[in-house]
Amino acid sequence: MFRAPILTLAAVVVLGLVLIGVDMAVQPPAAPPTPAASAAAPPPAAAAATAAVPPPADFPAQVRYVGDVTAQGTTIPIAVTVDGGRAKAYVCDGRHVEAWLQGTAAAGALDASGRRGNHLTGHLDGDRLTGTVHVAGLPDAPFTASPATGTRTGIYRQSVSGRTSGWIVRGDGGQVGLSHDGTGALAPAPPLPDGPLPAGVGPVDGTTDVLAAP
Amino acid sequence: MSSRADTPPADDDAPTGPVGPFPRTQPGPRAPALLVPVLGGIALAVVLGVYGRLHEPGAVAVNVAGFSGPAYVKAWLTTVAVLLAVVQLVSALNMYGRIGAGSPSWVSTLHRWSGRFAVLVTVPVVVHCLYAFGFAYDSPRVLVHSVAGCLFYGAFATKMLALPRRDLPAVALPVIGGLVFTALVALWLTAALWLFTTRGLHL
Repeated sequence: MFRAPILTLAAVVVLGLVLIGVDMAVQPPAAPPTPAASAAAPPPAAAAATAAVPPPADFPAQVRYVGDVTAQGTTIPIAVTVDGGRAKAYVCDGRHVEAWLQGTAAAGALDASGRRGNHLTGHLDGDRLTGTVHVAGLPDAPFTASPATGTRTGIYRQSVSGRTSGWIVRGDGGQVGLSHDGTGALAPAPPLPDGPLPAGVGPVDGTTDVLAAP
Repeated sequence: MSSRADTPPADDDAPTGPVGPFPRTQPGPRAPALLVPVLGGIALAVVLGVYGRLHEPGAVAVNVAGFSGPAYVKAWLTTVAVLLAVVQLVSALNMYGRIGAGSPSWVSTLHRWSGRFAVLVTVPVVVHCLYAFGFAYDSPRVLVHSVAGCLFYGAFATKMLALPRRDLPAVALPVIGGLVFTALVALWLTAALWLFTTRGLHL
């Protein structure tokens, strides 16, 4: 009884330190949301990120990234498409936050802008894309995205009869989507089917103008 | 008592305190008994805050099967902790004679173990908070949450360090315990309830 509270305190401290240790050990190879990319991210990549001496790698000619923005204690899906130096990005939580951005990607660095001052900067970190995104009404938030693994993974967009819808399809098949008619009101977009895409829905590539008026 | 025995008792000395094989009694509760626990708690709170501020947030993805994301894992763990904290409050009120007639011995056992589990389930949450986000003040909600988090663990450490002491002021434990409870409820309100109301109540 005399020492029990001290033991309790010690147990809590030890558990906390162990969990912090696990986080630190997991951190370098973990590429949320798909930590399966083990072969692609050797542990020394973490050291290289701090040193940053080797010349920055450049983007592949065509690549799609999917990941998460970490904002205010939660995560919001983000997808980025790089196609021939042109970058398109879509941030969408499927509920009440979305942002379309487009810009350029060159020499391992990415810069994209959207409406209402929305802005995104990113750079290659190994084969991952990390950076910061500013979405109007939210504080600047960091994001990390990994190269898409599935053929379906990426950003999809539909713009018909004054209504623009966007989807992020994740590597695990999960998706989020939002739809708006230009008046500011957002509504969940109907989920994309597994089979053929509905009429007017297409994957976003370098030629898509994601800032076009609805 | 041994030092007192060295001095021959003088018959004309007025008795200054209990004599005989009683436990030592102080003239009143000594506040310095709280000094080490309070300093220890403050130190832990400051360390957590400074670490949260200095540590570069990392994107850790703890995904537990059955939950829609790390935020919901944390929200539900905090909810469990708050429910246990309610058990803490009720059992403490009973132990102090504020509710119920008498306090069976199992109530103090319940109080101890519900408290241990309550704190233990918060540890994965705080580790994720500290490691992935750190101490932040983007909005009043986030600021209150960050401060309450440091306060909660500081007050908890103070309580654990104070409990073994036998010469505490009577109000010390209820006040520290109340602080732990209040901080935890504030943590829940500013994160779990916020998440449930903005993102929906689900796993």
